Amino acid sequence: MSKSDEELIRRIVNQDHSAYEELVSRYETLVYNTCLGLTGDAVLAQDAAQEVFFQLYRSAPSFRFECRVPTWLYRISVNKSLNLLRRQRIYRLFRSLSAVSSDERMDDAIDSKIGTKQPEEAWEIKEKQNLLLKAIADLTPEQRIVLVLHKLEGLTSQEVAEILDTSKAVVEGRIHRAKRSLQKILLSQIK
Amino acid sequence: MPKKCRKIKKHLFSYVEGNLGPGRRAVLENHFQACLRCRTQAQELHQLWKELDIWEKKSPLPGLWPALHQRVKDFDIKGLESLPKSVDFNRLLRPAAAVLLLLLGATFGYFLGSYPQEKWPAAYAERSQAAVSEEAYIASYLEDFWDVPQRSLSGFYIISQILPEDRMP
Repeated sequence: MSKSDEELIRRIVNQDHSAYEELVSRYETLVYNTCLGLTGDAVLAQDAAQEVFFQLYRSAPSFRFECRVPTWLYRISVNKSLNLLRRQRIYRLFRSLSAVSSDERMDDAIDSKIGTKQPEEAWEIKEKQNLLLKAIADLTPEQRIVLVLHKLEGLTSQEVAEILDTSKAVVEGRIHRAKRSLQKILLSQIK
Repeated sequence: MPKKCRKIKKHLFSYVEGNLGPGRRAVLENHFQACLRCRTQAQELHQLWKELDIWEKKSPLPGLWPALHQRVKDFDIKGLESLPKSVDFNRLLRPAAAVLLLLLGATFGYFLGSYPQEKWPAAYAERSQAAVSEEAYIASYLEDFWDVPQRSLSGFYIISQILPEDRMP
């Protein structure tokens, strides 16, 4: 019988690494995909996911069980991803990364997703997903967060509001604006 | 782009999302029958939006757990000391650069102000020697104001600006 998240957290506080491993394997997909949507970069998303789980380990003793563990993880994922992106921007000031390498990273992220499909179909999906990830990356951080959580992670407005510690109405407004912005970006790309 | 197409474009996303009423939907679909460009855009947008809906979850790249486990083990042994000290370059470097520039400017200004006259470069010293003659200096200065009579109020003001108070006529 699988243990509850709360029980695993209590065991992590006592430095139980097997409980920690179980929690990581339970939520690694959720965390990684959130980070991937927010950063649009497979390598950055991997780094962010590692930071998220490390933060979980460090902060487990202070977790007060006021919210669910996934909600907590979503919050950390959003913060860590945005921090990494900010640091990346500063890093690029010193050493500019070529657009090609960024595209390659995006391709890496998408390639493994479509490995089972026919080549032509796979190429088409890859193109579409590339276009979408690029368009999402062009949104403001505020819009990107709500769109990734709502659209890619499939959370309801209420759940997103809980993660961002705001009201449902605010989240719905942001989702609406994010969709409008995404529409403009996509339409300019598919002209 | 024709005006009609621009109007249609405004509702394209709502159409793709299925949020349009039957009346407006029919208007758009009628337009699509006549306009290939709008029809293609709607189809492409629809496909992209569908892709977002069926977004497949992806597993992290291999190596997440081993790297994480190593970090956690280090943390257990060394505690907070094992954490790399994060430096926020943006917060630290900008003020540091501003202070450095300010100090450099002040030092340079002080150096220029206290530089002894006898050590001035020869050409510069000659020029300042030549300007010693007061009349010549006034005359050269007043060349710029050749149309102002010296005994007028304006002339008096100009001379008062370049002569010390005890030398005023």
